[in-house]
Amino acid sequence: MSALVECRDVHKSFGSIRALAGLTFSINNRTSVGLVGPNGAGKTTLFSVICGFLRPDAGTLSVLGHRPDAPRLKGRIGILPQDVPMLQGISVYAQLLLLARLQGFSRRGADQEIARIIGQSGISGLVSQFPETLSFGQRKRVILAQALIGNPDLVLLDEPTSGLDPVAANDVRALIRKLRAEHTFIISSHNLDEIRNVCDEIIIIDKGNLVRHCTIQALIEHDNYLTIVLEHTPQDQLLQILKTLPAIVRITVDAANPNKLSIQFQGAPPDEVQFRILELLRQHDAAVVEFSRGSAFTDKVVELVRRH
Amino acid sequence: MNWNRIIILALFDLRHAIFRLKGLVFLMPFLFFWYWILKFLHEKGGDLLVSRESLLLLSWLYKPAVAQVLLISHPASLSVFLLIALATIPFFAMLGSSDQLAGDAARQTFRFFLTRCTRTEIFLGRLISSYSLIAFATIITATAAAYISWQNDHRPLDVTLLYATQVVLVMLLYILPYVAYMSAISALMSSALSTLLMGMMIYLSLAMSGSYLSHRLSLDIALVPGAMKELLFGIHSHDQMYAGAGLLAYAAVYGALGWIIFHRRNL
Repeated sequence: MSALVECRDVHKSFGSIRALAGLTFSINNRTSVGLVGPNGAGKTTLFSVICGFLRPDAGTLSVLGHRPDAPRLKGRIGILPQDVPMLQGISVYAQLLLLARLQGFSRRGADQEIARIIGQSGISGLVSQFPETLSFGQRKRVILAQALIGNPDLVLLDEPTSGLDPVAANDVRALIRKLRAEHTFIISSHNLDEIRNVCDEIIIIDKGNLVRHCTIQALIEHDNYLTIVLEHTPQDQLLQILKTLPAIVRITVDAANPNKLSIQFQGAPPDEVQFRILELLRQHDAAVVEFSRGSAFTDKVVELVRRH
Repeated sequence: MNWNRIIILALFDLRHAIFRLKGLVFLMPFLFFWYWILKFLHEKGGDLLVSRESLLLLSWLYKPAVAQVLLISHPASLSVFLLIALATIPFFAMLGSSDQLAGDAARQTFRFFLTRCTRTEIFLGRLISSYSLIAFATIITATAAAYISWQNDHRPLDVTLLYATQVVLVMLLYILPYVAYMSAISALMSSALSTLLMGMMIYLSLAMSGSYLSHRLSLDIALVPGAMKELLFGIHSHDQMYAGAGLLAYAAVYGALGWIIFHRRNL
């Protein structure tokens, strides 16, 4: 597989603030990558550098084999930027038409292409309106639609579902899953469940540094973990008994949800450990709401960022 | 560089400028001002412009030979129109081209364009649309001035038309460096208003510095395109050619400066 995005020791500062501090990674073709990190980690700056909106201070960046601002790259990248307004006083359709024409479509071809993305993105009722009359969520869906004009090779989505109602957010996730085979997606999001559901790989950055770049599966199943959500908060006595089971290394209670336990084990097959734990919980009348193998994805990401 | 994309950008911007604040903020005062001036020329022009007093005034402002050419040899109404136009073009051109890049760069709207076209294409598209808007409005007023001149000055139609064409060409040439100058300021600033104020402040500073240095050093020092104005309606053709080349040079220098700034700017 060839690298679609190749980032080598990229630095970018804004005055004394270091947004990117020597970032190095590569992204392969037809891979959906989740970009994760706390606020101010450098996610939006990285998107801006990949798209050529910002120039890196140092390092090299290659996108589809070209410099980010190379003329040959034009029309091959689509972006849903964060909090960027469309032109006011101009209808959504006129703006989509302009963007399609700039992408090389003839007038008739542009009309057909817009009809295609309107159908794909479900924005048919919005295109005759002005952007300023749309709600935040509606605007976001329109801006997502423009990112898909002309079937770009690389699509960058900065917080694609933030501000959307649950139905619209699910539609967007379903659309991304559907298009994964045709495009390479890089998705920046604070919604880790979303990243887990729609992405193949994850890049975790913090303070402009790379914390981890691996597949989602590798992050979840790398260690011997079980995650259990109980109906009621377990008493300390139950936790102590669980800890006495053979092969149990550590039990962590989720800070946000005290009903959720992360159990690390070693030296025994997962099936056996799983059976013993469930048996013990049954004996103590502790009802299990959710049981999954592997550590909780969110916990793992949070742990990696905290450890960094 | 893709000229098709530049034309698409320029036409889109031009079409929508007419209905948006960025176009109206120029068109409204421009058309109101010229309506008032042309109405005055139509009602009070004619004999008044070729009077002895008018000739004396222009001789005092410029040179007697120049005044003679403008008011006697050429249709007087059109000459007066040209003089007023050249005096007001710096202001109106700055007003009409103040929102080339600054507003959309600050709002980050260019991010939708930048994945589809180069910075050079965006820069040229905006430059061309700003220039076209001002040029279009100028041609309309010049056409009205030519009609008034034909009615008032009692010159043959072909003479009026030939001179009107010269007047329009001179004005279009004179507008160009101001639009290019504002592209450089606009590439640097974050709003149309700050671009306008900064543009005027720098222009006035350069004009006054040029005037001061010329006086001190007894040299012709032209720091702004306005220094070429008198040569544009000079009586010798080589003066006009020199002025034309000078204005194009100003436009090239300002345009190149704007292009460099816009290329380096974080968008």
